[in-house]
Amino acid sequence: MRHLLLLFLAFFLSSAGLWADDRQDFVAQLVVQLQDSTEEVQDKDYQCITVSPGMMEKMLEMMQSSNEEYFKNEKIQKSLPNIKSLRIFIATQHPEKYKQEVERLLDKKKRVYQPYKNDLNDKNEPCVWLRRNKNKIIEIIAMQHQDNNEENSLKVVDFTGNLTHEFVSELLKM
Amino acid sequence: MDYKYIEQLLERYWEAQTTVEEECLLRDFFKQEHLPSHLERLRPLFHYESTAQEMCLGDDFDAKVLSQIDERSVTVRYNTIGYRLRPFYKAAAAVAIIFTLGMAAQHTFEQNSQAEAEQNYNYANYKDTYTDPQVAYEQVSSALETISGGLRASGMGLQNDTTLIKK
Amino acid sequence: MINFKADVLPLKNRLYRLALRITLHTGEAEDIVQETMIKVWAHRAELSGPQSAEAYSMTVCRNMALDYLARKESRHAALDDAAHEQADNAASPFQQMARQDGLMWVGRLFDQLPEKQRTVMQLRDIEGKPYKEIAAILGITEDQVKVTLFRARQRIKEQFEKISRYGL
Repeated sequence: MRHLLLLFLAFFLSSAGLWADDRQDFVAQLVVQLQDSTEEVQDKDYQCITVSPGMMEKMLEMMQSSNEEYFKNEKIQKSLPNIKSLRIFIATQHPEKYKQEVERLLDKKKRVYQPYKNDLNDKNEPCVWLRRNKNKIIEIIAMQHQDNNEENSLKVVDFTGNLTHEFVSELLKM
Repeated sequence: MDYKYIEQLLERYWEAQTTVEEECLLRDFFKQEHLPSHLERLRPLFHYESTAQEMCLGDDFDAKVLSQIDERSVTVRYNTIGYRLRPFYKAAAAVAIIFTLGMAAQHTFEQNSQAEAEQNYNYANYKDTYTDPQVAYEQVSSALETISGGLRASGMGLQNDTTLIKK
Repeated sequence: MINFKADVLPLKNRLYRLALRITLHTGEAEDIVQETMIKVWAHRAELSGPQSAEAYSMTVCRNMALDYLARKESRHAALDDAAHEQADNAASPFQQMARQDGLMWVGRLFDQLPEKQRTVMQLRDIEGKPYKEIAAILGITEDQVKVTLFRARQRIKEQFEKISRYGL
């Protein structure tokens, strides 16, 4: 009887999203996974840039008055205030290993992060994942593995906020 | 015949060093018909142990105890309405808990659907890498540019993308 | 969940032998087994499974047997010495059983051991229980079980040597 009640409690709590894990964005969870990993993971291998909501607000003005093509896009401009945070994970050493870690976490969290479906994309491997809550997009993850003469690195960009499909497609358009 | 092994076992038996299996072995050994005289004297001990295992209660015991159990199960001690309703109290409590949890979960779901992203992420834990917004802006722009360039290059871009010729 | 017929009733004989080894009295031992089973059944909700039922039953049984011994001691204190002697010389059931095989004196050896030693001998040499279980039933450590068993066996060894030296 007692065990059954505990089971119900756990079920409701988890479905109510109260597990601390899911209150972190993807990159934060990735870093935790790397630190918990028994394999040797060098701190020097990767870097994580964090932009908090507070810093985002301060940057907003700069982004809105920017001359960069990137930020001049109307649709992007519209979305800028709705971006709450940004994290960028960059691995300059052994990017393949980190790509595997990313894929491992994505697999673990496949109920949370779904691959972004773009009808015009005919590539098999998705590089963008979305986290939704009801009909709102609350997180966007974009992963890029660059392997050419100039550099071999893995980058993961992680936006959270009240985001839209429009923003995602604009982001990719750019 | 070499009785060295048995003698060693016996030594350990007196010292309480033997295992249950070894003790079984000893008892079995002493069941043999012919034993050397120096070991024969110990036969009664192990024979006694083997026999004592067979000590049993009579056949009528089962009936006697079962009748006692039946009597006591229907004990009159707590035969009040409160006692009889106990299982229902437990069930009611369980239903109440589940109902409350369900309402709480529903409430949280509703909260989430209207919520700002604040409800979903613990922003208090975010530690800025750059304290100067200008520096942050430059780093972020450069990172974003690379990534969108990269995504473009990997074919994620839309077909009517005219900015491909840029840079 | 415990089932009476499947988990408790089958313990009857080893409970009987244990109670008998301690009380040295058949009628009393049988009553103790019954009382033990009733008590164990009353507490079945607290037991996690058949294994814990056995350990619990053996412990309850032993405690009831010890209570009987304690009551007997206090009764003995009231009797005069002559009656004392008579009571002590009566053959225990184990001895009576052993009589048929000419082993009565071995039974006597066992029964004359102090209670703890004869209980450990019963549980180990006759019931074949591991130290861990014996320790749980007696509420002592495994080391203490081993020491008690050692003492019991040494005593029996001495007696055997004495007998073989002087003949039966």
